[in-house]
Amino acid sequence: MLKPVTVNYPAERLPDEFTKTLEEIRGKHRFDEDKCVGCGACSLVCSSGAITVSDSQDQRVLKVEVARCIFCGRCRDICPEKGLELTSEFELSQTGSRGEDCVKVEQKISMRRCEGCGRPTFPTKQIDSVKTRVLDKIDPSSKETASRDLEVYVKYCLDCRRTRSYAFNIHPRKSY
Amino acid sequence: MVSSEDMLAGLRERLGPDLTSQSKDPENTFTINTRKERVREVARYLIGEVQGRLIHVSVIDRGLDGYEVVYHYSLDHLEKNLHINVKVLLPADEPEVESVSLEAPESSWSEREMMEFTPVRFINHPDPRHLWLPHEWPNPVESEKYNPVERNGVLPPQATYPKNSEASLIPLGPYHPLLIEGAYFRVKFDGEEITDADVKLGWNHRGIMKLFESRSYTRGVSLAERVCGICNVTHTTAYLNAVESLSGIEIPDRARYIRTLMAELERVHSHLLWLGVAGDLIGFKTLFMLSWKVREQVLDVFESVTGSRRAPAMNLIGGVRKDVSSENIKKTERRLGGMRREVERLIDITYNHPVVRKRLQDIGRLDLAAAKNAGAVGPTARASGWKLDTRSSSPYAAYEYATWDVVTDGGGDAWARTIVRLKEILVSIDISTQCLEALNHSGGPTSIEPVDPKDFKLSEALGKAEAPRGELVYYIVSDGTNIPHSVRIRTPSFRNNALIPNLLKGHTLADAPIIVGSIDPCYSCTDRTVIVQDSRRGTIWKTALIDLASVRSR
Amino acid sequence: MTPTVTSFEGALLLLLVSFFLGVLYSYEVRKISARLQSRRGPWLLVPKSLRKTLGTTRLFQPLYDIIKLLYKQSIIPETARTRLFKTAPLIALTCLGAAAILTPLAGYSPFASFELSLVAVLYLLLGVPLAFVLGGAVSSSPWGVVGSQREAELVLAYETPFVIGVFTVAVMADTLSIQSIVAAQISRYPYLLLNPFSAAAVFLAIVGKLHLKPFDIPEAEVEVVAGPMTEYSGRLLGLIEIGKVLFTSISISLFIDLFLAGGMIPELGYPLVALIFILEGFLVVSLITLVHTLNPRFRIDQAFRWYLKVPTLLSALGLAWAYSLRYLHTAILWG
Repeated sequence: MLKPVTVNYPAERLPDEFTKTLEEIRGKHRFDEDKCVGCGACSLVCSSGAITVSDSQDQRVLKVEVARCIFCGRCRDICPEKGLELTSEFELSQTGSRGEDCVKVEQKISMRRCEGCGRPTFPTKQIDSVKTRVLDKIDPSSKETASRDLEVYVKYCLDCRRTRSYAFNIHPRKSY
Repeated sequence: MVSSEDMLAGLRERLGPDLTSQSKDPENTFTINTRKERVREVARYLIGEVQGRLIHVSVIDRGLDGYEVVYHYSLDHLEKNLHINVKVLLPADEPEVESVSLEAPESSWSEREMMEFTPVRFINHPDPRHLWLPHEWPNPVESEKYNPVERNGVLPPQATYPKNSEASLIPLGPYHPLLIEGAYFRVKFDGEEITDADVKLGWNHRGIMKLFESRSYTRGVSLAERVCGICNVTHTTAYLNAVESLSGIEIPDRARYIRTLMAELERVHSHLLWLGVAGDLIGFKTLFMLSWKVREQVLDVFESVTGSRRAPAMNLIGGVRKDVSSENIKKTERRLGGMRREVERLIDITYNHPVVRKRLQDIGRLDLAAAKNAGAVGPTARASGWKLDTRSSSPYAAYEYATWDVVTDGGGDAWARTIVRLKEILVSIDISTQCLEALNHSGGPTSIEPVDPKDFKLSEALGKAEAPRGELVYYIVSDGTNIPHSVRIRTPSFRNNALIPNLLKGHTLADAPIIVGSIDPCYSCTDRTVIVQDSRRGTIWKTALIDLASVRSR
Repeated sequence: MTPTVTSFEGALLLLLVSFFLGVLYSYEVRKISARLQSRRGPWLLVPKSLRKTLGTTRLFQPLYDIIKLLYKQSIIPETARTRLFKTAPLIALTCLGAAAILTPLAGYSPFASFELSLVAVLYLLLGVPLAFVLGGAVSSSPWGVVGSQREAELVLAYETPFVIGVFTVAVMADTLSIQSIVAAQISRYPYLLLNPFSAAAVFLAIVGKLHLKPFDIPEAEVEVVAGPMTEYSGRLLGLIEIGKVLFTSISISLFIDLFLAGGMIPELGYPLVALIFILEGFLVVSLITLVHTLNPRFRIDQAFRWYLKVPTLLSALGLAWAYSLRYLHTAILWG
């Protein structure tokens, strides 16, 4: 009964071997610079709307507002590239939940511009990743046609594709 | 004891042509439709003769078709999982039906809640005051007729001087050190003895049932987890029981064991928390510190297995999110062994300390008949000798595979409730150990693919689970989209908090905290921000409220 | 050996020393009860990384809490009787100040020649419950009223064994001056050994006086928010806390003077006697803390009945024992 179980926090912390085994803790987010492609799936599945996607001319910014996060871990589970991890940093107190000095995690990806109208379409890395996945899964006999069509597809945004679909001979009922 | 066929035959016989349709779903839940004039008779039959329980009354808004009032009866003392939903459709322009709470007092709070959320009126209800809204708001709620001067039913706390201490009104709440969350018990005192008591809740209401109706099923799991800070896993289990019934899927065995393990560990943590709080309420701060010390070990298990002490986010639709590694299983088994010894030491302290016994015995007596009448659930009911446990009567997860006993005690007072909870900790540790053994010896997937909501097998389902405080019921109605049409939750504290005014009468102020505490109230579970509106000035801002407060003092 | 200065400075010095001893006793209660509950309590030695902000030790933590209260604003309810509300803590402090000067501390007493110091101290110590009852009753809060009722009932309960026990000691020493009681013990034995029954009765009464568990009923925060002191805040609460600290110190000093010979061992020089007094004080406080930590709170009617059973009987037994000792003493030793 006499040995205290409390720790003189913040002068002492829990010993390292205790925290090492707790790599499962869901703490602050960390985007992997190389793996994240900026698809925004984490933002769609977020339970509390803490992850926002904002596009500008050159880049897409994925922002995690740590104060709104409920640390459920769905974003990490759904990321198709395993580019988002939850570190074990849990001391995330801040004085306000809005404003510029609030804790946030950001990831910036460069966007590809449409060659027809100049508007931003998708992040370049996402386009590459989608291309790889489609060509991986498609039937080998249609691979060549598919890769040719994809080259044209990715140059244009949705509206420009529609206006040019007859000229490119890309239409939905073309079977692969 | 009547069987389910006899029960249905009896209903058919009594209702005759008024029983307009009937169906049964694979989860052993019957649904019958009838007319609104026969609801009391049905209640009399199902509760009086068949000895069933009316667990909740829900009102579902069916748009142009009107309002559908569903009476959920639980008959799981006859057959496992047997429920019957009695539905009545009320027209939208005249949504009135007679109140059933004269036959079944246990439904009185459910009807009051539904009268606040929907325009349905339950006529001849013995206590039609607001449950969540302040008493001063118009009843029924009509925004044009707000009159701030008329206050019906509640008196403000009065200053008392020694000379007029005949019968003083003392406010226990909404802010009082005895309460963990906000609640208001208005108690009338005569010296130190309580002569009358009334309870008003709603200080913690967050509108969760409405939030469910705007979020998809997967996001709803996170929301269900956050209804209560203590019983997170149970809320997700009950919600998922309902959603998995709707989908018609069966989760794999390994997922069942993991869900049971999480639920039982949560029960251990919740009962240890309660032991500490009960100790604090009788002034025994040392027991509070010691029992929470043991509770820290349970939370460490949660953290190493799932990544988070509370809100572990382990359950998802179709199973559990990740597996428990064999190294974690070994660590947990060792921890549980150590915990068992420490819990037995705590039980020793509680049993043998003479002052603890003096404070807890003969306090807040609830006998079996009163418990059945008021619809008590959980350890509160089991301490009055009623063998009522959802894990044995409507089993879910892996409770059928493990061997365990339901703990009851005949005393009915706060001491009996303490004993029941302490013994349940040991039973839960037992069940957890059995689950860990099963996980060690078996393999298999931990989840299966969920079903697209447009392929749901049923259009409504009841999901039940045994929270540490009692029976938790989720009633989900789906309309084929990926957002539920209605979600109705009935938490165990909803039932148990209604008992408090009757238990308080005749005791002294010193016993009031432990009586309230022995029911183990969870106000977050019961309620689901108050904006003060002044019809002349619009919304009152915070600064004006602060000015009002400072007028009263110098 | 002991200085017998009856001067204003001497009395003031005694008051301050008494207060500081009380602060140390308060710290000891917090530290020991924390360690028994597997916590740490206020730091005896602050960890190195925090020494710049917090200092080397938090031994005077109760004093810092009082100082913090003294510079905060006092908010008084509008419906309270302000003059009585403000006077109640002052009544307590005056009585305690006078009692502190009259109680010898490590043999030093500026009023050693006052023949009736025991009776005076007993009456003055009743000023504290009086102040509580008064302050609670006029604070216009239902909690204050209930707290006052409980305080009054508790005083009735513990005052009987206390008074009987204390007068037993007076009977044994044949005098009503505390300094003479100390002198009487020096020449024979400490009264703790000669009459353990009265010592036990007075000890249990002191637990009730200091509002420690199992008798902290008037201040039970889960039942009556803070009892008579609910509406006190800021400076007035600071004065009440000073009163509590002084009360602790005076009660412990009284116990040591009456039963442990005031720490006076004739062979030792003065500084050592003072040290022994303080050590005995710490010992008594640790016993009180043990009782305080290992017990829940009684209900007021249970406390009343218990006080009527155990301590009152013990004190009556002690009184009978004292008279028989006196008879034996005169018959055998002088006889």
